[in-house]
Amino acid sequence: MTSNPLAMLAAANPVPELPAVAPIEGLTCLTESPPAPLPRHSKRSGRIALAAAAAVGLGAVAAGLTLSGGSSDPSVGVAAAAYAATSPGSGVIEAEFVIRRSLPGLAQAPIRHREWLEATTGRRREQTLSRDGSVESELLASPGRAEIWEPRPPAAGMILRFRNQAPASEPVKPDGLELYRRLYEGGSVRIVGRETLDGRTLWKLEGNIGYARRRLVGRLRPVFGEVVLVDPTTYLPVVERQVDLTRPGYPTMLETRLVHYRRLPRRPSSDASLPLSTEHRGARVLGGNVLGLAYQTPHKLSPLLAEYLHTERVFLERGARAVERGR
Amino acid sequence: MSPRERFELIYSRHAPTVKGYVMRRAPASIADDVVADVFTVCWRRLEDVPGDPLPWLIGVAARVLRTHRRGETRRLRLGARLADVEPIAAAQAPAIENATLGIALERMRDVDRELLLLIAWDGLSPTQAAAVLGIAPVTVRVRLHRARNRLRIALAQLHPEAEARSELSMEASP
Repeated sequence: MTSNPLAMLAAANPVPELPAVAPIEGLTCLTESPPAPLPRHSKRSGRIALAAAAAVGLGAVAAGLTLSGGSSDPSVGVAAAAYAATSPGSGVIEAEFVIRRSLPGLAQAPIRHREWLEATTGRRREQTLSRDGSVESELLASPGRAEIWEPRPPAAGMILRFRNQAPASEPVKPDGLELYRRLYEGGSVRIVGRETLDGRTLWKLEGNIGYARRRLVGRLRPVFGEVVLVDPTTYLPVVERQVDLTRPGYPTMLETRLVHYRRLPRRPSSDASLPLSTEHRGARVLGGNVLGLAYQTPHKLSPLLAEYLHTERVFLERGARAVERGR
Repeated sequence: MSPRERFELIYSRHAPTVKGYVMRRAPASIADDVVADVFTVCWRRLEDVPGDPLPWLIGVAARVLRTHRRGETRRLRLGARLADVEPIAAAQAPAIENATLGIALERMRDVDRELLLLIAWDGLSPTQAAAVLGIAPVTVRVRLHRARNRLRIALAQLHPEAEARSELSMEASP
């Protein structure tokens, strides 16, 4: 053993050589804009700054500050920009994603998901595509109603149509862009920093999206988290991950990557093409309480619906078990 | 030199050292993100960056790491409550292969340990280490001397058989 502690320390250096760093091009998004000074903080003015921040916060709440209203909070700025970037305006947004799942009981092969959003009517259309590009299932949702169509048995030749009692609520939860838009809009995800992905430095937003409680009146606890990596120049989502907060390391359950995005002008024909019954002429429309029936015998109705419900059940059951263990 | 050119020069010269600093104190998986955060601050505060930017950058990296650890600890605690999992301790002391040295380092005061590591691992001069820690260069030399002795004593306590040799060498050292 050497008696020189500094020499011992130097010999135990876990990183003796200078590591390679990401090329500076990864930070190009920074240097494209002039340096913007950060607010300065000093120990002496800490209390004053805290009081001022509290006053600003109260003022913002009092003024009913919304996402689109702007704020000095970078979380709000990035979320607002991300919301704006994914808003269709008067037209339609077309987007395509590749989804990879790590859920028990579900196929592990990646899924292609395509969707159209139309803001004026609140309608969205989602398609699941096979590897050869053919449509495996199709969903059309608008406030208060939803339709599902699939070409394969057992639901081949049928359109499952269901309505909600409350017109504003939706029978099927949104996915893809519409999901992100609601998270941004509702402040459910906040910026936590940056993440480097394939050499690109992206904004990282995180939030909790799934909650569970042990008893009906118990406290809700977060069990599923949402991570969205946003492009710093276009503010479009690059990757979205749904993570399991109940397991160590927060493993990813679903990872979604945006592969295509474009804005389309709204045409008069788009209204007519949105209902699935006009798209799939001759298909039998099955109405009524199909959602309730599907809960009992999902395999007899629709693979898409069954998968959707299975995913929900896996989420909820796992969350409930985690809450049970945590007590 | 334009701001962008200066920034690129700082990045090319010091980013590897900053990344090495981070990797010695945190998981390698987060090193690139921390370095990106450090240079984001550097770009935004370019006019505040001194002529020798390295101590300033290391100081920013230390703050970014502290912030990251706070967030990580919070999330781990949340996960532990939910899943009944033992929380993983945030990396306070660096993980090194020499277990005795690791224990001796853990027993030291944070400021002494950091001073030794800045010099022995990160290759900073005592003057640069003083700038990182926010103390006068004269003071840092005194602290360095004391920290070195404390580490030597801690090692000797962990290795009683080496104590005699250690005491001999202490007398011989300047």
